[in-house]
Amino acid sequence: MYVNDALLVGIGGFLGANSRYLLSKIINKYWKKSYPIATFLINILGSFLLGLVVMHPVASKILQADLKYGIGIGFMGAFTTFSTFEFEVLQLVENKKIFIASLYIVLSFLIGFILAWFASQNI
Amino acid sequence: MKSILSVGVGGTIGALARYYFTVPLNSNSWFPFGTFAVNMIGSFILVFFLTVILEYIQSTSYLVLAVSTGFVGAFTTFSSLSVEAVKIAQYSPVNSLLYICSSFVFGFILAFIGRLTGKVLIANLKRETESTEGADVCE
Repeated sequence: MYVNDALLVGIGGFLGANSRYLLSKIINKYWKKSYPIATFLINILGSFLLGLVVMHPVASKILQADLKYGIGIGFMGAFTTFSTFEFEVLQLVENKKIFIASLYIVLSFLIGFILAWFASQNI
Repeated sequence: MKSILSVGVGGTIGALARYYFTVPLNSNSWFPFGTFAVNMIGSFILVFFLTVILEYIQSTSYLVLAVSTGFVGAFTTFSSLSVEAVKIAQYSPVNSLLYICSSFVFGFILAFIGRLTGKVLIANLKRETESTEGADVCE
C-alpha cells in the first residue's frame, strides 16, 4: 500500500460517487415507474467497465497498476453500489411488488455477470 | 455545489474504507470475503440509517447525502461482485452461483434487520419524548 494508491482510490471515490449521484438524479427525473432503472443501469454499466479494466486481455495491460487502483477500485467501486440495490429490493417487497423485485434481482446479477464476462473477451 | 461536495467527501471516505477492508481479505481466496463483508455491512447500515433519518428526523440534509449516497454507496460495490463472479466461474460455476446467491440473500436479511432495528429505535425514541412531555404536563 502506497500513499499514491490511497490518493487515486480517494479521487476515484469522489468522482465515482458523484457520477452515480448525478446520473441517478437525471434518470429519476424522467423515469416514474417503480422499477429502479437508475441503480440498475449504473450497476450493469460499472460491471462492464470494471471487467474491461481488470480482465480484458488488451485493455487491462494498457493501464498501469496504479491507474487500475484509481479507476477500478476507486471510481467503478464507488460508482456502482450494493447497499442501494438491497434497499430498493426491500422497498419493492414492502410495497408488495414482488414481481418487479424478482425481475430487478435476476436482471441485475445476470446482466452484470454477462457484461463483465463479455468485457473479459478479446474481441 | 454543496451536495456534490457532500457526496464526494462521503464517497472518498467510503472508497478508501472499502480499499483497506477488502485488499487483505480478498487475497488468494476462493470466496471474496472482503467484498462480501463490505456489502453486508453496508446493506445493514444504509437501511438502518435511512429508516431512522427518514421516519424520525424527516429531513434530507447534506449530512444524510454524505452518509447514504456518498459513504455507504461508495463503500459497497456491485462491479467487483460481477467481476469476481466471472473469475470464480472460470474454474467453478457452482462457487460463482453460491457467491452471488449468498451475497443477495444475506444482504437482504441484513437490510431487513436494519429496517427492524431502525423501527425499534424510532419507537423507543418516540416513547421517550412522549413520556418526558407527559411528565411536563403532570408537573
